[in-house]
Amino acid sequence: MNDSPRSPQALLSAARRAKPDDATRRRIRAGLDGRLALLAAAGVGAGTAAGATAAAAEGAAVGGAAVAKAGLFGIATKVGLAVGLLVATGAGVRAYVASEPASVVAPMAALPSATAEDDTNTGAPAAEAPIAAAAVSSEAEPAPDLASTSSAEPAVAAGPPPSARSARRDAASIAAEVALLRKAQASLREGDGAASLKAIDALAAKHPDGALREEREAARVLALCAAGRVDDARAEALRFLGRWPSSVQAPRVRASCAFAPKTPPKP
Amino acid sequence: MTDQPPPGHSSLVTLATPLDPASTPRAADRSAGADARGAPVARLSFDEVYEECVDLVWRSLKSLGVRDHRLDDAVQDVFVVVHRRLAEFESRSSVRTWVYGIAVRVARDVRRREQRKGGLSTLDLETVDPSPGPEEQVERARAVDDLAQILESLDPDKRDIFVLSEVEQLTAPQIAQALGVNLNTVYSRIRAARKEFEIAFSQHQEQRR
Repeated sequence: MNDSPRSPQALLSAARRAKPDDATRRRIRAGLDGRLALLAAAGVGAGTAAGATAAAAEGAAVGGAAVAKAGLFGIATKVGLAVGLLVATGAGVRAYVASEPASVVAPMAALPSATAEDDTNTGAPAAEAPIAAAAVSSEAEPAPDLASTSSAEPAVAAGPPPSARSARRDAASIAAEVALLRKAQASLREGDGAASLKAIDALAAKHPDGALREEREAARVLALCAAGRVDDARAEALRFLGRWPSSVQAPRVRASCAFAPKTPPKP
Repeated sequence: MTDQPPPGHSSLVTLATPLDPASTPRAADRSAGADARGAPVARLSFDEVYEECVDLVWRSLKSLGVRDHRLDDAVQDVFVVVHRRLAEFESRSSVRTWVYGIAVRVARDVRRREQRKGGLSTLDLETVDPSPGPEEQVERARAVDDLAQILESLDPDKRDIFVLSEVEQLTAPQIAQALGVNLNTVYSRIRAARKEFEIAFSQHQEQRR
């Protein structure tokens, strides 16, 4: 390639105007979101990780379980459309994470994975596994099963110490929230905006101030897009961005059909 | 040819002003809650800073010799630091200047790690195709790669200052602030770096012939 600039000034001038293309920008942002979520989960920089902070403020702080929970909230809040299902046990916390394709490429190593139950023997591999498309679960259960069964009390398997009781209650409520959100996302993946909206409405009715409301409202925008209700999507998107301008979900909301009517998002 | 500011740029007038050549770090100072003209300054959100700075971070890291296969990670490294420290950032200087300072440190770190690995040099994964884009964009990105290659012959301190000065067009006081280096040192390094760059450039052209 001998078409390189012939003078230092020409070279500098071209270099000054260089910038990443859109695909690169998207890739960087997705990876960044994943990393921030994992940092939040690991409690690194938890003080500034909005999700983790909010979660901590919201939930009853109960020892280690609560800390881990705050971490997981961080993930749930930050990892795109990823959903964490949290089960508190006496020893700690079990987590399942499912994610939209391509929303995260970071490894899950930082996830809290302590468990008192022996059916989670796949915990170790899961800790290394990247979060991949669809449901990445350390269990054999597919995501839909989780969605339908997770309102079953999650923590009954272990005898928790008294201090974990409230954490367990929180965990149960998060689990229920997660189940509904996951349902909404499953419908969204199938392109069924209406069904997705139904699940989101149910979620909002049941847990109006739930821990995952940021995710829920972001999902609502996408679901409205999927349902072809662009105007409604835009209204919701504006509301979302007004309320959570610096949300990690914000880029996805901005990238939705709400602001790019001609290119509806892939379901 | 025009470089459109990213969306959201207009809401960030206070961020853009410090790049005005006339502004010194002092002029760019913003006391808590107000800019130099006393106008209220909204607290910067992470996303605002990200949108404002992602392009310049990408470009400066690339100019500073971070190779493509490390670039995504390095850009993210910068913003992980930004994310962690934004709360304690007190608008003492322009956000951009601050971010440049972080980018330079990250780039040094990446280069150091590469060297430790035995100087996997320009030959390795470098040939990864850039994602397809408008020809101009590709061309400019290639210009940055050329530049980075030329700058490899400069010593790191001069290279950092050269990039901030000649590519990113920061003023000397801004550079001094970003890097925590004495202003006179900045001036003398810029002069020296310009000379060295001219020489390195002609050598580079020779080799290409």
